[in-house]
Amino acid sequence: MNVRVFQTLLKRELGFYLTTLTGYVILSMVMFLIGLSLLTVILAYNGRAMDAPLTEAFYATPFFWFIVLLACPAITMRSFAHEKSTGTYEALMTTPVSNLQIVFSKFLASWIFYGLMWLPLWGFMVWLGQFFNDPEYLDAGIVGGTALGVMLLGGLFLAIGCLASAATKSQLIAAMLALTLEMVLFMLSFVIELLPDQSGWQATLFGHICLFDHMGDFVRGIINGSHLIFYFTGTGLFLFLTWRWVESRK
Amino acid sequence: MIEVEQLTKRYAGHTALRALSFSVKKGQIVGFLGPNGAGKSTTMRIMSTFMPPTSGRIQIAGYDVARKPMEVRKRIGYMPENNPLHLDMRVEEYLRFRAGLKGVSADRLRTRLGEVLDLCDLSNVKRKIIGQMSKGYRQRVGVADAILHQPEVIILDEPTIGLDPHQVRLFRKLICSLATEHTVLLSTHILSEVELTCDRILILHDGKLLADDSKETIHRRLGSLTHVVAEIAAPWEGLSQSLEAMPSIADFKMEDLKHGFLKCHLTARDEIDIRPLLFEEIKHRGWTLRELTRQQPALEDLFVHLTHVRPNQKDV
Repeated sequence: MNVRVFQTLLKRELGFYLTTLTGYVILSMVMFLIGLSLLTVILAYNGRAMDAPLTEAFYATPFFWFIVLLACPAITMRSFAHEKSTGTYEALMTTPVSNLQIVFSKFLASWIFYGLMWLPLWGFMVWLGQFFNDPEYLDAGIVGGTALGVMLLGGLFLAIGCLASAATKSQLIAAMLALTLEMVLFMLSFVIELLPDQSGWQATLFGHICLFDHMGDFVRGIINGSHLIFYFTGTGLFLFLTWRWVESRK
Repeated sequence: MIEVEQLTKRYAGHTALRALSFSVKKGQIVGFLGPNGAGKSTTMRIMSTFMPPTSGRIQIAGYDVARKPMEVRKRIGYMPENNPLHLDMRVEEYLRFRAGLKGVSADRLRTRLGEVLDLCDLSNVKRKIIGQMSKGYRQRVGVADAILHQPEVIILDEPTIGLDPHQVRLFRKLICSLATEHTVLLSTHILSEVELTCDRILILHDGKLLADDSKETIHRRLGSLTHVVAEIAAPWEGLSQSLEAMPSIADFKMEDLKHGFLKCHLTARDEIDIRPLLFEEIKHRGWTLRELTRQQPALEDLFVHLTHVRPNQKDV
């Protein structure tokens, strides 16, 4: 992989997020929702002793999934679809750049932007941390685990978004398609609760793809191999599908 | 430099190219002429490696487009139809971005960027945002991008579409200046444009090559299609007899206009300019002439001529 070419692509992709209104609309909406969720947490625990880590309390608010499910399609919808609709896709695909570099640079730029989007949360955490008497509820491990979980979940959803964007010329359709696929994955997390036999292979399978279980562990600072394998394979699979789609020139 | 052999492209329910074959030598400026849907853009898209052919092959600078696309991309500068650009970027920023993708080294770019900006007359607007520039300037940015990495072959798809006559003239000058270093292939549906710019003209119609001739040959062929229109105040019989007696007129039609004028549509024999002869005849007869116009044939006339006069060429 040519590093200079990759840097050029990455810089352009990131530049688009940081120099256009779309990027700032997403950043402000997410910042507003993060603030709203932390306000909910503060009001809920006002004058009471905390019974769970702050990260878990934040995760328990309805805003967490709202942010992830809506922000990811909004970030990735333009990555391929915008270039296809304006025609710059043809100009890009006829330069000596491999399709893998193009897919990976678009994904990485969206992932970096997604990471930036969450920065206010960690700032709030640090700020709130100074009011805690018991460090058990907000230590580096818990915050680090949550951050890792948020990034891995985002990586998976952004990879899905890249595939959706590569499949169409319309940014709106790309966003709707990504949201639908993410919602399907999200809904599959409820299936395990509906299964009569909680010890069968179906329960094991749906347990592995249950996003709530993964995130529930991450916000408590628990990181194990199965979580990492799930997110790495899931993200890898959707990036592979995006690459194949781009290769097929559909 | 470019070898196209039996190139065929089929879409669902439609064949865009039918066994197209031609070759282009180094340093030539070749014009691809044809109406919309003739297959010009499809051929160029296959050449640029953007899409694969259904069958047949193209070699550019010795590399097969389907097998060695990366090698081909390094050697071509391609400006797609409608000249898509990143409208949010500034001219210099855009060219630096494109140079980065094309693997132009930072050292080389330092001198090359200035050269390209000067050649395309963009030095004064290099800090401008592309989206705020006129169509003419944008086309120049598109060409600057295509020649940035000094490719051996430049492929321009409808480069002058939407330009005003002044911009077209400047653009033509720019294209001609490129021929010294590059092989240029450009497509258009404007006949006069290729006549003025290109050494060689390929005429495409319905995915087939109708003609592959030098500019001079095409010009000669067009000459035989030239019509002259004259409005003359003369008696019908007398004028008709005079025109029939002129050996240089192959065919004519007359219609009666108001106020005693007759409108004549004349076709010359053997590419002769019949206007001076006709004028002399009218002067000699003492008639009144109020219009004498030479009508250049439209592209459609040429197609009709080529498809009817040279049916054997249809399957080239």
